[in-house]
Amino acid sequence: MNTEFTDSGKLHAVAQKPAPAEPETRSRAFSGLLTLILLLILAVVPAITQAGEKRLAYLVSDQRIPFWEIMQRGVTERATQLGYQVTTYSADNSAKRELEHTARAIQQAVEGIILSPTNSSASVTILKLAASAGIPVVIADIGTEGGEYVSYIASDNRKGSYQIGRILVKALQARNWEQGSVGIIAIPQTRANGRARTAGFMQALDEAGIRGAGIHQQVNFSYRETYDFAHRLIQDNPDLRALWLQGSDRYQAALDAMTDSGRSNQVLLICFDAEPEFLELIPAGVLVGAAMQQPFLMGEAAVNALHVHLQGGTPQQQMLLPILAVSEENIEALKPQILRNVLGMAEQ
Amino acid sequence: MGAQVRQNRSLYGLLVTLIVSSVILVLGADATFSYFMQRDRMLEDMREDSELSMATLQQNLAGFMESYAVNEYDQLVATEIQLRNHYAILVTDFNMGRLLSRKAYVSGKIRNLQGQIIDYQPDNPDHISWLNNAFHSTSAQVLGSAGNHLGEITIYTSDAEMKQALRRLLIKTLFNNILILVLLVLLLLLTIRGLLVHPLRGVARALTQRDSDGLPTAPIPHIGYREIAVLTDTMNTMIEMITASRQSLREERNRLANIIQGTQVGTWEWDVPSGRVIFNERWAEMLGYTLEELHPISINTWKALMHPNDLKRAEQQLQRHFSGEISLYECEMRMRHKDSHWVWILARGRVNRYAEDGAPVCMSGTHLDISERKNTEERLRQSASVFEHAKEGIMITDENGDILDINDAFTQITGYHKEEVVGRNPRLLKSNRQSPAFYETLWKHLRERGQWIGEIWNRRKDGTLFATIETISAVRSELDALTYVALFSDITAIKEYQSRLERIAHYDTLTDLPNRVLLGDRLRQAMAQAVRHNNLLGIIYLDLDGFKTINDTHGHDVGDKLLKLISERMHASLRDCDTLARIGGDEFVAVLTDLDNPQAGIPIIERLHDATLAPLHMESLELRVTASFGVTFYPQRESVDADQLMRQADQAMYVAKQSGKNRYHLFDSEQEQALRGHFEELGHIREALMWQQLVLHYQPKVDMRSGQVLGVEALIRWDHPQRGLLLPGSFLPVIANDELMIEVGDWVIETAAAQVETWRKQGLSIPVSVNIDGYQFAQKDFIDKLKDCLQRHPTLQPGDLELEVLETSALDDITRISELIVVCEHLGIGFSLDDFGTGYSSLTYLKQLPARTLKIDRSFVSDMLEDPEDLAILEGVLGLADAFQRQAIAEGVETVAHGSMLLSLGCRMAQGYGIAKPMPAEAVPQWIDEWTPDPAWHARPQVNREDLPVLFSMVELRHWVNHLERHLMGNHDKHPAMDPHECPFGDWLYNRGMDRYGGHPAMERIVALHSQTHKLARETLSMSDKGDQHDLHPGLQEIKAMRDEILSLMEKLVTP
Repeated sequence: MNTEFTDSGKLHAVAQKPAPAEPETRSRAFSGLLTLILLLILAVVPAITQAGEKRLAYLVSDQRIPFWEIMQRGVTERATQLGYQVTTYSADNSAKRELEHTARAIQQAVEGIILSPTNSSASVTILKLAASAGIPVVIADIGTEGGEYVSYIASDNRKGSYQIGRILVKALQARNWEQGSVGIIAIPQTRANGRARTAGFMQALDEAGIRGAGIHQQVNFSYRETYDFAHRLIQDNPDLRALWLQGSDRYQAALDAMTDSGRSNQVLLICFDAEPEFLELIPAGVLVGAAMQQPFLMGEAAVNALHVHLQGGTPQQQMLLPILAVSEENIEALKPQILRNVLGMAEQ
Repeated sequence: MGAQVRQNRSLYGLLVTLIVSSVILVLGADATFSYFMQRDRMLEDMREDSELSMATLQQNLAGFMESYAVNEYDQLVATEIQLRNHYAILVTDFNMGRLLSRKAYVSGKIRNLQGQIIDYQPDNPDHISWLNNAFHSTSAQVLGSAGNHLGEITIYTSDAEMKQALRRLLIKTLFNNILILVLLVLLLLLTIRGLLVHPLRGVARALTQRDSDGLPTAPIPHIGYREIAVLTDTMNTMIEMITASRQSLREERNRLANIIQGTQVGTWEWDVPSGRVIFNERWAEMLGYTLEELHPISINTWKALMHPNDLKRAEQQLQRHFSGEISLYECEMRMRHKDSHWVWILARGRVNRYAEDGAPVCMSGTHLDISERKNTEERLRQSASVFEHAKEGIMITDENGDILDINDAFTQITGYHKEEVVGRNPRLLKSNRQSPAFYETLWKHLRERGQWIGEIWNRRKDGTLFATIETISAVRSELDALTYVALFSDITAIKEYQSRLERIAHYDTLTDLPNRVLLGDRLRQAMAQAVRHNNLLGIIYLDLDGFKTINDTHGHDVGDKLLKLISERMHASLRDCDTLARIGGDEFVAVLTDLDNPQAGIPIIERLHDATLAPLHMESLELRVTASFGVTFYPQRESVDADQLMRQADQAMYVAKQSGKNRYHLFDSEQEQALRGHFEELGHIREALMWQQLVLHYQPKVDMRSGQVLGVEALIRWDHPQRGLLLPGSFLPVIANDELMIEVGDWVIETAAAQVETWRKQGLSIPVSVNIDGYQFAQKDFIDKLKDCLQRHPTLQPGDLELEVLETSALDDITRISELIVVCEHLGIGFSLDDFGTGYSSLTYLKQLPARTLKIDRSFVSDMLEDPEDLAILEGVLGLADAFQRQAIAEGVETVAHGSMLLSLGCRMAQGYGIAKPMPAEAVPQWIDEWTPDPAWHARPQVNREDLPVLFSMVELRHWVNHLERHLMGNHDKHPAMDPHECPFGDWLYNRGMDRYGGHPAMERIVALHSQTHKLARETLSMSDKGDQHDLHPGLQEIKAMRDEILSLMEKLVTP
């Protein structure tokens, strides 16, 4: 398998996150609780294994990040439904620990592995070890540079970006701001998902004849970096009418830059991915909208694919899950999906 | 010898064997050495590659191993094995081993049997087997940053590739050596074959191809190598010497044969004792035989064919030779040809062997055909006789023109004797009458055609000129010598006679100028040349003014001398290219050629004119003449011939004469065409005047109120024999501005004056006015003529005659006309301005023109009853006349109503059809007796100025009714105002009318009638709109009746 996949960019989000809002505090608490539960589960896994139950391992790069944590819940939810016991191994972004977890999972002779690797290179070794042990692997979200796997589950970044681009176009047209330009604060364009997001979004702008004002690529994903980029775009482009942030967690930096420039009412903000507070910010018009990946759904899909394989079927080699293009108009209608599949809050 | 050669060993085969063996030995040794050298080099390269890879991996793997980046170092290993072409590289990772609870984690890359790089699998027996078969391996430790032992790297190299490479090397070496061997051997063999074997074979082949003499037919090929060349050159030298010797003999024999053949000489060889003779074929051929036909041949054969008259002489000559008297026998004789004619033969011979007793034994010689020479000699003899006795002069020159010979006739004609001219050039006869170009043409003809025939003027020895007709021929002799033979006859007498005839035919004997005949020729030539050169030709017809008088006064001799002198002057004033001809008494024609445009001819014409003007001195007389020139040009728009040109120039000359002589006139062809019809018409009018077809009719002018006849206006008519009585408009325009107009004008004044006298004699005193054209007025002698007329009619009283001049003519030169009027007044002749009102009259002009009467143009009078504007003009003109105290006469009074209106306006004098039409003079007295004015006029008072609006409103009413009628008849788009208050009449009636005449008893009725008129008009209009055209007439009649009643009532308003 020579197909090259790249990581999603979620890795850096935690370290630079600003003072957490209330939902994030909840998320962290929840994350810690999950870790504790996992440790307990790990402690009892051998006994269960010996009991001959079907077991799965979920190797995740860093469960402390909400996105992965929500995906883990999706994995667990679906696995439970299908009668699997899932052990989640969070590598906390450490390659060594990831390999240790791989060795451990192999040692425990799990039925299958769901892998959200630390990076696409590390996944090659994991796949090789798993293959030598005859354990099938489904990759969720972050890809691999090589190796054999059952299925690859990812978000349809291009389509989602196109749709959110359309929402922005409508918002600009409604204000007669089509003559203005749109600035982009992007995740690194060396990543496949970054390029897909930019391409989809620009397609929507091009179709409407709206100009781009420039693109700044994030490096350290910090509040300051996002603030500076947003501020510079606003200052350099007097005709700027919108900013698109290809992430969700630094939306406040962009809003602050708009306010500090005195143009908060003249520039729109639209994001990628979601934060729980978006459920309020979008209806309030603070954000025009957001393209929301569905990590919970992705986790479920990964388990489904593995299950099909274990049942002797042939799942799709690659499965692109839709991204929810959420705006003021449709947020109410999409709210159940957002809560469950995006925020993993179905049971809350 | 050939068999022996074949038994010998082949040098070529031996050389082949030696060369092939040597080459195989050398190349085999070289291949073996190369193989082992290459093998050692490859082994060394493999070792170096392993060391390099090991160093690279040792340096880079540690970091990856420490960070558990297995995939990264796996990719590094893959890169290295690919780069250095190793067989396998294995990495033993102790860290990973610990992680996986093993001793070590072994990974790496290995090449499979197809050479592809695949992941190494430690538990794969094939992989283990492949490693065991590796040719060489080398291992090294990998140390961590802290110096700890992280793992090992093992690099395997395989000899399979080396073996394969060596096998390829072996095959390549073998292939190369075999190829070199083959090429080398082939090259050597070809070289030996080309340089040695092939030349030797060539020598052998040359020696074997021999002619009948056993000598090689071709030279032995030259070999470029010294060793062989010595041999072949020597052989060639020998062969060449033998060949040359034989060739020399053969050529000598051929040369002799050629000489005999080329000279066409017959040869003979006579064996005297036996009489046998050997002739060659040519000998017989000269006589038309073959040798075979003459068999048996002997000395008698020769004698038999000889002319009997020559035989004796031939034999005598022979005997003289035999006796030794002459060393060479030579004799010309005739011999009979086969076809019976005689052939002249020159026989020559010599005894070449004598017997011991001195008798000739063998004699040989030649026969040569000399018939042609003999014939030429005869012809020359005959020619010499002709040359001497010819009557034509004959002159023979050499190629350079130097005279070789002349005959007696030459001497007789030229006076030169032979000794005076031989060796000299014929130029001594040159007369200088011919141009150099003439001689160039002569020589050109001679060179190109060999002959020239023509006439030449020459000069005799005594200096007199003579004409010859001469034939010069270029004669080329058999020796290619060129001579010219000139044969000529003296034609001087003929030429002189011819010249006299031509002169008489073409030249005027008095002036020596070309006559009419030659002029015609030259004109036609000049016309053709003008067309060809695209330029103009000027033809001047010239007639001397006053020559006849001189002739009559001083006699013909003086006249002739004058003509000679003046023609010389005129001829001198022209250019060489022009022609002056005398075509009659004092008439000349000059033809000017090569003119770019007509203007270019003017200076020449003026020079010619000047030539005629200068005084002519003859004996004691000084005479002067002038000339009239008529000029025309060619070509013209229309095609014309020479005769037409002459006529045109003649015609123009006539115009010049008519215009006062001593001038030139240019012929205008277009104007001539246009005037042709005009002149015809003028001629007819002139004839009418001459034949008294022009008559005067008279129209009375009266005082309408008193009934007094004030006078009559004389009006010209043409009593045309075919067309009846013509009014002046049909013929006076033709003579406008023409002399004839003056004549006609004079006739009118004269006739009118005579008529006044006639009437006076009848007891009637009637003034007559006549119309005078402006052109006639402009004549300087107008007043003089008028005075003459008055003198011719002494009974005329002042005021009997009046002149009417058009207002427009008077205004052309107002100052002069004013003077004329004053002068005429003094003569008792009155003046009136005719058609007054049609010009741009102004007060200033009227004041300056002291005319007694103004005649108001008929156009205003005839329309004044219906056209308010015309009425206004009329009223204005009458006011003007009154202001300047002039009489006003209204023309064009056609009805009683016109007269009434004029009387109302204060104009009493009038003329017109309503009074009387123009009538012949004889009818006038009776008319005067019978005529009485209309009673209405008698009672018609002049309306006060304050009542004039009544008259205008009456005209407006007529105008309104007419307008309505035209509209109803479909002749006017818009109907008049239908509202009684809005029509012009209503406007006056309801305002100023009511104001001034409101108390008048007629007004009430007028208002009622007016109102009814409008009502009826509306109804009629309505009917018309509905299309009831048939019912319009009654309504219209009723409207007109009401109009007339209104007008009648209106009359009452202004009648006291």
